[in-house]
Amino acid sequence: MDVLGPRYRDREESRFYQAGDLSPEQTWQALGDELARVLNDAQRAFWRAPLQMDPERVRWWHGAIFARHFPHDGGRLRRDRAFFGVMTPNGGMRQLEGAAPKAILGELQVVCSSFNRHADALGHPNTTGVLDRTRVVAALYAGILRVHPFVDGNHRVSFVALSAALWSFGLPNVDFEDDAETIPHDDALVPALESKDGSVEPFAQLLVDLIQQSIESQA
Amino acid sequence: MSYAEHMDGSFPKLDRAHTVRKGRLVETTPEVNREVAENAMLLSQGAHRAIEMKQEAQAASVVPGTASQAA
Repeated sequence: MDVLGPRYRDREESRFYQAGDLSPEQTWQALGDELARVLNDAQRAFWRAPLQMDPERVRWWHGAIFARHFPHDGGRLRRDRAFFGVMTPNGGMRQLEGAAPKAILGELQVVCSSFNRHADALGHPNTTGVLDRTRVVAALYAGILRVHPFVDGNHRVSFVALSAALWSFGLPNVDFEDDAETIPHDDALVPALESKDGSVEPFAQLLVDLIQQSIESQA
Repeated sequence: MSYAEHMDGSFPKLDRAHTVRKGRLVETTPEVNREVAENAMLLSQGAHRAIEMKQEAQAASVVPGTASQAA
């Protein structure tokens, strides 16, 4: 999609760097098209409608984004240990490990069950505070990222979950585009990625701030 | 966009799916989702790497002759 402007490519070491006879740039664009299609489907299915999470849905979303161009990797849980780096707010780099391969399904189930339980307890969107809702969304998003169920593509599948959950709760999805949004995005996630008991509050509050600012700009 | 009623005293009830983009609330369309997907792809590289990628793309798109004419 040239209309989008610059042609990017994934990290060379990524499983999704280059598909078949596509160039790395064409692969990036093709996967962007697939991700957009999955977002469209999630919007249609979950806007102000109940979202019941389970590991199979996460796996299915990953397959929907990647399996067309990477049939051997799309939707396939990893079988090896996985490490991912996070930039701490003080500028340091910290290496974190995803769930042990044998624990992936179990830990993902805990994340999904927790989301379902808290979503049920929220009650009607019209009578529930925005922060109460974004806390539940943030826990789902950070939980999938922390478990890191796939070799690659964890952020993209987590972003679908984030979008579906926000829409399900009657909230707008949030696009992290500007540098002034992407750096706070990463910083706010660090506590929740460092441990199961890490706080989701910074990310939940960031979502509230971005949503509230957009409302105020309409006024 | 229409706001039927308010929640939380200040948050409007949206009657259709929306997305926060560039600090503004826009109705979510396939075109919006495509742009959001592009930014999610960039964000998946990590915020700092995403910024570098955008800067590199911007630098590559500057044609020297054009830049000097503009100056």
